[in-house]
Amino acid sequence: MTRTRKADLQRKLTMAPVAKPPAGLADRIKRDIPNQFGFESERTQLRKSAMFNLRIAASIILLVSSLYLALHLVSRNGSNLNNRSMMKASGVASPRVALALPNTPPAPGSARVPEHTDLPALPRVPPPSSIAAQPAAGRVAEAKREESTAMTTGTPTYVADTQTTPQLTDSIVAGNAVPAAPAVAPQVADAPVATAEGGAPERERTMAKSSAASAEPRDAMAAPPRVHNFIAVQQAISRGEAPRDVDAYAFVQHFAAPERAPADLHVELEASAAPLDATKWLLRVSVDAPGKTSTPVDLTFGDAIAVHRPVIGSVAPNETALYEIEVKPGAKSDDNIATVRAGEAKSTLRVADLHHWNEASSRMKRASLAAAWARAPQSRKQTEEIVAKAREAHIDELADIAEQSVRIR
Amino acid sequence: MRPEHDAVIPSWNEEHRLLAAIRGGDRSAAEELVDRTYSSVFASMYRLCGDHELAADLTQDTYRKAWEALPGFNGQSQFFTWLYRIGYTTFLNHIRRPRLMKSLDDENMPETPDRSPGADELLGNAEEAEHLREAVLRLPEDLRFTVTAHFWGGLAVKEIAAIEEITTVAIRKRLHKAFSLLEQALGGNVEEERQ
Repeated sequence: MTRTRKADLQRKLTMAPVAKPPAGLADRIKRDIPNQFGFESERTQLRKSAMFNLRIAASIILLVSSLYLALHLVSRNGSNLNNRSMMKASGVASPRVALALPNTPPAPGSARVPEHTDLPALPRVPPPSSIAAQPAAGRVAEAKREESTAMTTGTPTYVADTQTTPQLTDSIVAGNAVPAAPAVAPQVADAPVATAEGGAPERERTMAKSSAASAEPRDAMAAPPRVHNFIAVQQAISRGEAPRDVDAYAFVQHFAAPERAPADLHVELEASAAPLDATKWLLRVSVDAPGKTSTPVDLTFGDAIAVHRPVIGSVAPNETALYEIEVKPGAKSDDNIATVRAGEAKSTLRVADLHHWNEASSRMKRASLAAAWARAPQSRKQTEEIVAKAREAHIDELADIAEQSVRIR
Repeated sequence: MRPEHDAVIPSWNEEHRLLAAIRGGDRSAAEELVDRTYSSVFASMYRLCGDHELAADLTQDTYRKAWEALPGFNGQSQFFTWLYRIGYTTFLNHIRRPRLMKSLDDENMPETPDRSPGADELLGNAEEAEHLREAVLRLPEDLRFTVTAHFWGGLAVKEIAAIEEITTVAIRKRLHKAFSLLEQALGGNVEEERQ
């Protein structure tokens, strides 16, 4: 397009004919002017604007909340999936079946894992007397104090350092130095010494041989009233309730007490077959120290012992401890089993002193039967055997408790 | 390139004063606004439709619609620009109604005799102006509005760009393209008439 042609077109468009409006057009238009133009007041406009803004804000909040919720759910599902995949990868099967939980609360003690009946019948082993004699708060405070002391002094205490090997050596020598007993009981030949063959490994035997038991001074006032537990057992049985969580320690101490109060410091060592298992030996260590609760007690096992395991109690004044022991197969009759010292009192037990449970002392029978019964749970047959042996040994108090517990069960 | 009736269009400040008065319920302000703008609106409608009575009716319809839409007028453009857009839409709605207006392609439409041999001689001729109007109305919509708003409505390029929400450069391109199409249309007619 040439510039001239463009100019011509512009001129033609601009010079298009302009007509004058007809007369009366303005009046026609003015007649159509409404009285109200529909303008809203500023307040109405402001309110509408505010409402609109509020709607927008609410929508944004709703959107953000929904987004956050969706992300949260997705992340949770993702973590669950990750856990499941990890469980699958580690070979752990994820629970796919919903478990129906009972509406009623479980019975007390029902969650306890049942003991295996095929395991050797052993009573419960209480904590060391140095710990059990103190209340929990006191133990914690003492532990903290010892820890702080060790940290400040820079001399930590190690377990190996606490073993008293030199004393053990001396004790063994002293035990061996004791003259042999003149006679060997005929039951020793029938005793289950041969059953100890192939018992504990060599390492365990060494450890057992090198250990020594020593009693520390105890505060008699801090000791718990152990007899009360026996009374609690009696009360529970009298109410027709099966005794639960029997404090075997207190129960055994109740029955292992001496029949008559000794006049002076007295120690006893006795070993016999277990009441319910004649293939096992039980060693009883009783220290009767009226008015001498701080007397140090030292128990040393002799070289005739292959393995010894604490069953219940502790070697301490006015307490009875039970150990399960294994005698070396080649032990001689005059070989030393154990030696206990409490102040000036001393007692030594030799292989020749081993005897059957029926020939044990009344105190040994009471302590061993109480320990056997205090083990929980027991089979009905074992309990009935305990009742029979208790009746035979005239331990009616224990027989009654055991018998009633069988009936209740 | 403002038409002669530009003189009556109120200035920006005066327009704002009148609109504020109208919002306040002043009917006389609306009448004053009509007095100042109706002849320009009528002229634009006449150039679009080429009919005196129809232009008057379209002008009246334009104002009627304007009163209804006035609360939504935001004042970002001049009142006349906004009014022209309403009038142009009214015109398009009118010509799109069947049988209410003779189609530009209607065979029954009376043919304008060509009494002038050359294109230059047609400039002063009303019939030639009618050819030009027909050619303009055959332009595509965007070009047609741009041309009519600029040349017949008297709107500045900047105003058209604002109301179309495009740049002034785009408006000028539209105009250039429209000129080319008009030249082709009018040149073809001339050639046909010469033959």
